[in-house]
Parts: sequence; C-alpha cells; structure tokens
Amino acid sequence: MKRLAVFGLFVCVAAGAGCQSETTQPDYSIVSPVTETFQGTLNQQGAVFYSFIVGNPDPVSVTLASLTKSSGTAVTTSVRLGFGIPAGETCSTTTALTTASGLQAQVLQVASPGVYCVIISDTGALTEPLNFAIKIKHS
Amino acid sequence: MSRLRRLLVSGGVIAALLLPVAACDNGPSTTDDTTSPTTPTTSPVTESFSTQLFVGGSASRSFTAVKAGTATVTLVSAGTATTKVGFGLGVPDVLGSGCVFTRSSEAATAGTSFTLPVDAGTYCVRVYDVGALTSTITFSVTIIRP
Repeated sequence: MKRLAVFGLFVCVAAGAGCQSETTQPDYSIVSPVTETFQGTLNQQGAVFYSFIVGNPDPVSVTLASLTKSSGTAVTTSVRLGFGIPAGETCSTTTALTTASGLQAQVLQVASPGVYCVIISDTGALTEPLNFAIKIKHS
Repeated sequence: MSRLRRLLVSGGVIAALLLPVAACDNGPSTTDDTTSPTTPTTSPVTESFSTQLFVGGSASRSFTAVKAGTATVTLVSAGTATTKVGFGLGVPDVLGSGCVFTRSSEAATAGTSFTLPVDAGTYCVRVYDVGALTSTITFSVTIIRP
C-alpha cells in the first residue's frame, strides 16, 4: 500500500509537470483613440481655443466638422484652424490653415504625450457669429 | 490480491502517461482546425431612413462610416414634389441630441443630395420643418457610406 501511495504521488506530479505554465503579460501597445468634440460660437474677429491631453505618441487628427449660422444652417465660410501648444491665454500654433468645414481631418499631426490645443479664429470673412464643431481624435 | 495490485499499477502507469497530455490545452488541434470563409465587407453600404415629419418637427439618424471614403445622403422623397424641408449632413451634436451640419439646405426637395469625403467615424442626417409644412409628411432618405 505504501508503494501505491508513492506511485500515486508520482502520477500527480507527472500530470502537473506535463504543462508549461504560460504567463500573460499586459499589452500596453494597443490604446484606443478617443474623439473629443469642441463646440462653441465664433464671433467676428474672434478666436476660441480648446486644450486637451495626448497620452500616447500617435497621430492627432483635427476636423472642423461643422460651421453653422445661429439658425443651424451650414455655411461654407472659411476660418482659420490651428493646432499647437497652450501659451498663457491663447494657443501657440505649430500648424494652421484656412479651411471650410468638412468631414475629413484638415489637420493631422503626430504628437508626443503632453498638452495640446486647437484654435479656431475668424480671418475676416465672418459677417455674423457662427457655431462650430471641431472633432479631435487622439490617443 | 497481487493480481489486483498489478492491475492497479498498470492502470496507474497508463494514467501517468495520459494525464499530462489530457491536462494541457495547447490551443486548437491542427488536424481538425476548420477555417470559416471570411465574408468580405462590402463597401459602400446603402442605408435607407424613412419616417414621418410633423409640423415644426425634425428627425435625425446617425450612421457610421467604417473607413474613409465618400458619403452621399439623398432626400429621396418628402411629401409632394414641391414640398420644401430642411435637410443636412453633419456630425452628432454633443451639446444636444440632434445633428450639427457640415452641409445643409433650408429649401430641400426630393432629389436634394450632399456628397462629402469622410474619415471613418459617426455622422448624421437630419430632416426638419423650416416652417413650410401644414400637415405631417412622410419622407425617405438614402445614405451611401463607406
């Protein structure tokens, strides 16, 4: 009976030793991008900016998706759209362009982790305040 | 008794050999691994949106472009051929529950259409009364999206 008990122990050890333990390491490489929407009103000769935090060095896309009158009707007026770094009470742009609203990103920029901003401003084309929506996609 | 013992020992040996194999899960077997055929995603996709529009009312619908491409929204019908409504394409309003426009018309009739290049993302169409309706109408919109 003693031999049987020893043999039983051998069986249990053999069964356990037959498997290689696999450890799963957390995967930090996949980070879901987030989309923030910055909505507001742009006055004549005015400028408005919005700051956001980039957590990963991935592309940041900025889309001026909507520019409308107070009635809600879309307009194709061109405004200045910029991307940059907050500086005091404004946004110091590293990239800027004059654009109308669209559904394809007007600004695409690779950014290191940090605080960034987008700014929308009137180039002199506004004849009335306009409502805007800017989509910012980043990680 | 010694025969029974031999039998137990033999059974133990077999179990010792088989147990490690049975206890391991090395993923799917290579012999019976069946691969289902992948159905290709067709693009562009056409969706239809049809409902009633009340006097002073509006109706919107969001849709998702799964990849970059071109989106076209068309007001196929809206009441009679001369009925004018507001119609537009844009992005969901995060400050409200509607749709803020990228392109729109306040005098859209059947056949009015907007086509824009889009990135992958969520977009919307909205049909609304601009004050011209005197009774409820039925409208239909088609959305062609990547």
